[in-house]
Amino acid sequence: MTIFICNAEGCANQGVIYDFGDEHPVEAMCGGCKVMLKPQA
Amino acid sequence: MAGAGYKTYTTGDILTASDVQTYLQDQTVMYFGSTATRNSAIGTPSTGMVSAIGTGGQLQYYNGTAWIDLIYATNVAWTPTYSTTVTQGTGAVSSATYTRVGNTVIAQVQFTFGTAGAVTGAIDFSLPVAYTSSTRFTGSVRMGIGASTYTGSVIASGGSARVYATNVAGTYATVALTAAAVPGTWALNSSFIAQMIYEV
Repeated sequence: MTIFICNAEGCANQGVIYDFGDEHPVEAMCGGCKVMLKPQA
Repeated sequence: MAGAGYKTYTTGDILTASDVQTYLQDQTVMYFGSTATRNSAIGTPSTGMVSAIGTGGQLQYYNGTAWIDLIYATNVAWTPTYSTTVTQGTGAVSSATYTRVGNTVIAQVQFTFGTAGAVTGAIDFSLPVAYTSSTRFTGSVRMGIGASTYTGSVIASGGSARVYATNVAGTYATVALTAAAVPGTWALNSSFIAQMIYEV
């Protein structure tokens, strides 16, 4: 599994865990603040 | 200066600094690790300049005032913001990707609820690119709840989209807001897959 978490202060997605399941993108755009996220180790 | 067009060289021509700048450098696709690096390197871009950015080499062109995305090299993953009426639950899976061709966005969202996942009202999620048209679009959604599979619609407004179930109680099918038990009781392993095409 590939997990993305945005920790940007004030972002609508701050701290929310996004598990992409069988998909394994190398980066993902945060739907809240639009920054590009890298997968969590 | 980009926009100079095309120059045919013949034997014996002198390749001037101006030629290299105008016909080679300014009209060639440049690669940068990020938009920030590109913007720092090219303080005053010329209309029509093309650059490739970051992982996957996203192509952008300069329209005279801003850099605009061209066809995406690969689908872009994004993390939708769900409404507070959606309790994702522990272990929820949310996989969303989109691509863009000009002003058309093609996106999909796959979501599976985790432990203690639930719905308490309308299911809303943010769109990867804000929907700006005055005409609302409709996408399709498949909802898997328990052993049942339901179909529905996705209707966008501004920066977010809303999932509707199809109500066939009357003579004509209508749309119905999702709720805790509409179209079924949302719980662990319930899921929805939404497909959308919309103009921005």
